[in-house]
Amino acid sequence: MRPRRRPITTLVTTAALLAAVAADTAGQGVEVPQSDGGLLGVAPAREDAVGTPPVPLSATKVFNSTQTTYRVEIELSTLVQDRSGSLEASKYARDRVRAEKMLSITPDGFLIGPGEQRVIVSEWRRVIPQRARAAFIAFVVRAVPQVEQSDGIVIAPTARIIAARLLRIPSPDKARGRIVGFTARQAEERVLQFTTSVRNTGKVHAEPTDASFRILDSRRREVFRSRLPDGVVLPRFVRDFPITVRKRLPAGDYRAVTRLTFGRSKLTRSRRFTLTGPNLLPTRELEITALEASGEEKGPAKAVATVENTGTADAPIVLKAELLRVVDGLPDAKPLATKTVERDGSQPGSVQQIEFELGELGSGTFRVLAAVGDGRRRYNKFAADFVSDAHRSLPTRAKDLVVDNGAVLAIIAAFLIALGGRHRLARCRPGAIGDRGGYAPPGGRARAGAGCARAGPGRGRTPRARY
Amino acid sequence: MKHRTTLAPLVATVAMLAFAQPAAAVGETGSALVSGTVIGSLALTVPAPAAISTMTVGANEWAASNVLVSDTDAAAGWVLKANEAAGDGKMELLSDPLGICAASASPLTNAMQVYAGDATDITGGTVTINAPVGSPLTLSGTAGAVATAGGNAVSLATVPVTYKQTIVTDDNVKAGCTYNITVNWALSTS
Repeated sequence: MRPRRRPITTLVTTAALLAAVAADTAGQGVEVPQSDGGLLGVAPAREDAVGTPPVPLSATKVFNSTQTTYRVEIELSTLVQDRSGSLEASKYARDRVRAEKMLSITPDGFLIGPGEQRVIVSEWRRVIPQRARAAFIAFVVRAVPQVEQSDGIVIAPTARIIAARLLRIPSPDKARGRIVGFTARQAEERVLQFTTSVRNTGKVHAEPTDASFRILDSRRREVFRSRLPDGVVLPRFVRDFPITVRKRLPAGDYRAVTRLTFGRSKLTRSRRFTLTGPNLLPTRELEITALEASGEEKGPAKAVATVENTGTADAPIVLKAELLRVVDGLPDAKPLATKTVERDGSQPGSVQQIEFELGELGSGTFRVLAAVGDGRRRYNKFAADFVSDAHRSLPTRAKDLVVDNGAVLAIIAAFLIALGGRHRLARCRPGAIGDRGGYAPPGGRARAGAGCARAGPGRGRTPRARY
Repeated sequence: MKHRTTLAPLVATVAMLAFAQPAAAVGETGSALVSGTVIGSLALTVPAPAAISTMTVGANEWAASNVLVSDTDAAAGWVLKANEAAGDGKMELLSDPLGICAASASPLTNAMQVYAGDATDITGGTVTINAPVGSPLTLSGTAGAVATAGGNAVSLATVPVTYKQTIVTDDNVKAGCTYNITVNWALSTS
């Protein structure tokens, strides 16, 4: 058997990437990384500049090492940041206009063929508003491959690469921040995740420094230590810094401590937590696993939601449902009716079927949208579409009942007849179970055997009306 | 039997990490001096248009592709997201060359789903899959994360992606009808 060999492409691609990064360090901009698979990209991905506008910025290169020609458009917008730290372009038109006033680019659209690259010249013109100390601009490269459409079902991909331009006017301003959240959750089985959420309350961007995370046991001994991940936080935004703990910690009480410096702010936060098993947090998790809905015109929508407690802690169930009309496959934005159903604590692993009714239906297609939560957090949503059945009159309902349940009704009738027969026989035997001892008029004496439906000669039934 | 492992990729990667320092960029004008850093490049391979060759009513149809992501910024991670630009994630009838698609649904009832398999990062970085097989991303107008990588390393990762389209009976899709969706792959730094 031959020794296993690593594919040489790994080495080639890594070396190409190395060359690109090495060129990057030369201070002459960033070279195009080569790859066997071909890449469409932008360099630099991030520019962190300090200066006084108007001033030119570094040239931006758009490169294409693929075998496809792309139509490229460059768009500008202001940067926004989500909690994962991802730097995205604001989707609002006013932010695009604002970004275009702050930064100029040439050219802003072109075709780029295989192996080609284009240089974009940009100038930082100003900050908006005028008293701002920084500008955060998304440099968006939108590329559409120029390929022929084929038949059948076609998934045509486009690329959107968002480079960040973090521009700052020289000033003594330092970022400030605070920890706005420090949470623990069960990431996977036997894996814990602690998240430190930092809000930048200053006017310039910054990254946490000297950031550490520790876990102490009940005797205050350090049992885990890690460094928080790096990451820039833009002013006004919150970024989560997660720490994953795979080290096996036995059941017990612990304290987690996060500590970091953000600009001029020194921040510390701690929280106690209890593990109910090795790396097992009592975590609430609820899931709607099925939802069925139906209903008829002039009646309510009837739904059954199956809710499973998939967590490791008891959790109350708060089910919020909406009834929506669906027209041309799209639900109306405004619900016809809403309903909240609450159930007391469900145990881990338990499954509950929750039946509820809401609204009044007309004819057409409807959607029941249900979301489950525990009153503090919403976990998941489930939707069920259905077409309302025609309204049925009372006689029709009765007929349907007989038709649908004919066999059951026949069995019940047969059972009742049989029971009635036994009952009558029993009443014919004085002293037997079921013999009511005859009818007793108020203040009078009971007449034995009077309750029997049919007696022998001279023992006729006494009509009730006589009393 | 002895397995021989070449150290070259490891050495190259270590060297690359050593080099991956921010580059100083200085531009001078008559009125202002700009100093700062330019960091890395961000690139991806847009998968070639994928076609679902069979269109079986009442079935799930798949198409597979790869997204190659490159991030040479050692100080930042990346996020790969997908959405349908200006749409709700549902395929629409593009053409009806044979005139047989009048009764076919447009858009299809169900939105397309995207999920990713285990990614391979040849630089040794860790890629987190946000839309695994068991929890796919249902395409909509809003971009949803498919895969992410943390900072502190450069990255050259291949993310295998699969498109899944459920075609229900009411869609009445016929052979010869061309459906289309534009999936927008967005790569950003973090």
